[in-house]
Amino acid sequence: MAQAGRSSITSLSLFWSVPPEQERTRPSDPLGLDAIREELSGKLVPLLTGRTRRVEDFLWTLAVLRWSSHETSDVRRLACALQWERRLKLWWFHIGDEHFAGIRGARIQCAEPGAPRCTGRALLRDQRAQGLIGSHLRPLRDLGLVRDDRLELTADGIDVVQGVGDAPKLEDGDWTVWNAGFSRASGGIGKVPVGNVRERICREMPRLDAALRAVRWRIQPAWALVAGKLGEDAAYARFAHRFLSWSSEVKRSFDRMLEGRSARCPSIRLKPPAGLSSWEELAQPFAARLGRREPVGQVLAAWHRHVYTRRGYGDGDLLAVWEDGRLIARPPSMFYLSDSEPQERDCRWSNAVAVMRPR
Amino acid sequence: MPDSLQASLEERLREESEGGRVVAAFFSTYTFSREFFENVSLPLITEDGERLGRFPVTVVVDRDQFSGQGRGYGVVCPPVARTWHAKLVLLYCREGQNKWTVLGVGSGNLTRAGWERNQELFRVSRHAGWRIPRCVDEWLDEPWLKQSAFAVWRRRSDVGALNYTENARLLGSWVEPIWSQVGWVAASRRWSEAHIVTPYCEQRETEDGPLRSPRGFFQRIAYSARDNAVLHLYLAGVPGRDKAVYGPGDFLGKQLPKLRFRTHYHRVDPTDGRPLHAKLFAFRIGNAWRLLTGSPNASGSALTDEAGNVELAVELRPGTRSLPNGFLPSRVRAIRLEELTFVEPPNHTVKRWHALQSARYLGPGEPLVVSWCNGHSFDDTCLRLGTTELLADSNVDLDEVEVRHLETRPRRRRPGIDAAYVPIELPPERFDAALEAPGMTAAQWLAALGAAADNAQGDPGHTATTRAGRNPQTTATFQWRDRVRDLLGRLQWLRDELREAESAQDIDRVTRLLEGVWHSHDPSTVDLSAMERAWRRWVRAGLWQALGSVGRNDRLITPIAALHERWRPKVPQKMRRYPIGQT
Repeated sequence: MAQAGRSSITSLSLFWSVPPEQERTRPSDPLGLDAIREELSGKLVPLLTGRTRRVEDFLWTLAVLRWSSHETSDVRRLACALQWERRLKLWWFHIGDEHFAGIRGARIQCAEPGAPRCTGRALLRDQRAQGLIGSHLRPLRDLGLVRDDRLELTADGIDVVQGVGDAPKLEDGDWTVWNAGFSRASGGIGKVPVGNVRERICREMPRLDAALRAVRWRIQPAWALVAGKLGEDAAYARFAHRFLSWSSEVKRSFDRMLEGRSARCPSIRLKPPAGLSSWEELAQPFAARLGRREPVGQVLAAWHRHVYTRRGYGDGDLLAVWEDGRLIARPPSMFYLSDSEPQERDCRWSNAVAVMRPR
Repeated sequence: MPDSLQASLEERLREESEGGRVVAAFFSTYTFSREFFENVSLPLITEDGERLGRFPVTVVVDRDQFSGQGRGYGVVCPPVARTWHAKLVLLYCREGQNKWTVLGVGSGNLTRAGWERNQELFRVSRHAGWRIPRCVDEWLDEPWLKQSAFAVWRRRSDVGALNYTENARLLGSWVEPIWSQVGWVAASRRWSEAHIVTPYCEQRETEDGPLRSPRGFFQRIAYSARDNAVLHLYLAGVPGRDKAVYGPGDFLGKQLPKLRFRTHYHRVDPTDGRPLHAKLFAFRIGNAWRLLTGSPNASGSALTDEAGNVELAVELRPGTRSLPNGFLPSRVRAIRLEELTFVEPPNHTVKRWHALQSARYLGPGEPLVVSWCNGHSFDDTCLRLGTTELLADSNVDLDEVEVRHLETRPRRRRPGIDAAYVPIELPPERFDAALEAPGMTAAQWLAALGAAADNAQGDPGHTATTRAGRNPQTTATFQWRDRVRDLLGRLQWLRDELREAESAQDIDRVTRLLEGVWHSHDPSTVDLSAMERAWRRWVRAGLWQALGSVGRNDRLITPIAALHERWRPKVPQKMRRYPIGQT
């Protein structure tokens, strides 16, 4: 074999491809289970999103919007707020806080020569949807802290983050200045009476608040346990309880079969509540076929095709097809992404507990 | 393998295009995943979708592999019998007066597997100015590609030829097979050592008798092998089977060893579930190495056959006496032929119902112009647009549907034949016409001005709120104050657009919008309330002032200056000076 030379393929602009460093933000949902879970979550915990884990995230979102309020249009305010979010996350990474989306991007940018930089590329692939604003804008609007018609704080919102002060003055490459600026803002966030925001959330979802209190804010999701206290949402809670474990099992079976292993898949033995539209559209006919004589792989393949067709995708996008009596992963897309984040798999139970529980 | 030799294609493209805007893009691929393209590739060049549909993006996809597309880009399936196997990313970027081209060539298709999962090799390079390689330019003159948005943009724009350096040049097989252009290996230039990485070989190398096929790639290289020449053949390993590789056993195991070079077999591990898909050729001729990488496999139809696949490859001359470090795949194991097991790769070719040559959209409410193949018609073929079946006289409004393709299926069930998909061609001037709709009201026209601003209003996870729903003009009370504030944002957007416009097409789109807003806000319309009449004057004056404050004076802006002059008499003198569009 030839000896390795002093030159390398990089001098020829060649490279072997690897997956991108940035976080994935769009997991595949081959059977539409995430969509059903999302609809259930929207019924049970309407005011939070799957990414709401701390009241402080709400406050920081308000802060970056406040620092962008001098811009003249929503486009500019959004662009400005996204840059503030990026700077804030670089600083979080610098001080050792790693509990945020975009950690890998922050690690790379903090290690670059001349870091930290006031302007730079986004930390997430889809920053607008998955960052602070994408994750928390709807709840903040529902809470009356951000205006519905434009990207600006309401009077209440301004009041909540009064102590954060004006936007920090930062300089490229100088962590000392960044530390001073964001520490001041962080101090301001720390002085905000978080309880007020929490109370506001609990006021909007009083039955859920009472239900979670009754089970002493248990960490493990127990929707069936609290169903009795949720009034008209009781049917959703009971169904969610069963659906969570069942959907995990279905997904696991699909994954196993893609790897060429055998799998079994039970049918769901609970009637879904009326009006759960994503269930009716995506899963109902196929869920009923599971647990009968028909091969599981055949049902899952038909289900997957149905879901992708409804999304407007064609045959070439399918992750798997039923051929020769088995489920076969399709080469163009054999690699598919893991399921949604664990926090989202409990129909926002953990989000509700984390945010609404008194400290 | 050292990290520096590995990179993400997506991130490399992002790095090379950073600092400017992509103003035109052209892709070529064999397999195409709409889901991946719309979620990963398109956001990369459209600033997370904000500029989707506002500049030409064209993708050429093999017609057997195409299965649908969405809005904001055009797909072309070459109506040729040859397999379209070329993989290409060509981005044209601009920042002010600074223009550059990003060229990506490699082995990966426009799918998640091709960009993120498989072991693929790419070459991404950046070139000053807007340039196009000649072998790609040849495609753009073909009748089936000529009317694509990208081809039209290329004709209208100042795009020069991409001249490669002595060390690298791009080769395409549209006119001539790649191996004929390479010319390294000939009777007078004999090779002594070669490394070939190929995830796919053809059994038909032997179909005309033992290795006598004129198409045979290995036979061709055998002619010019030195005595004692050694070929290292790298084949894709079968997951979970230590000594198994993908490939035609009859040919690789029985016929190849009879050729006049020694073959050493290597199994490339499907590391972490990442199968080999890269294609490499390295030949040592005298003391120099010649390299080739790109889309072609080591097969006759990819490299030597005149009527073979359409491929793209980069020829490299590293100028060193040894093979560049990192060129060969990592996790490779030599295996003796006697120990090897050959496994036929899974065959995923499908027969499709190709009944339609093309479908062309004329505009909302018009029937599509369809061109049938070989006597097919509505009698034997069912045409579907999304979930709707089209009949001969069905009118189509593409603004009402997400998809931009037709599905063709036989009316009578035919086992073994799948549906075919045909992209709907949009006239180039309509590729950004999503904003246009007949009968729009004044409020809708105004909402369309700066629609991107509305779309970028955050909250992307909750897109149910419509533009009109946020528009203060749709509420019951007049809300003058809110309307004025809303207008301020839209005028700011307008000024930004005009300042940053990069092509006549950009200006044309804004001009159409402006005319729509202007005409729909005619204050002399009968039956208007006094308040509404005043508002319309206010909007018109705001527009007129915005046009006068663009602050650039080049040829591109001439149509805007003309509008400004034409509308001047319609704006009351007092309102010309009142600062409407300023904060």
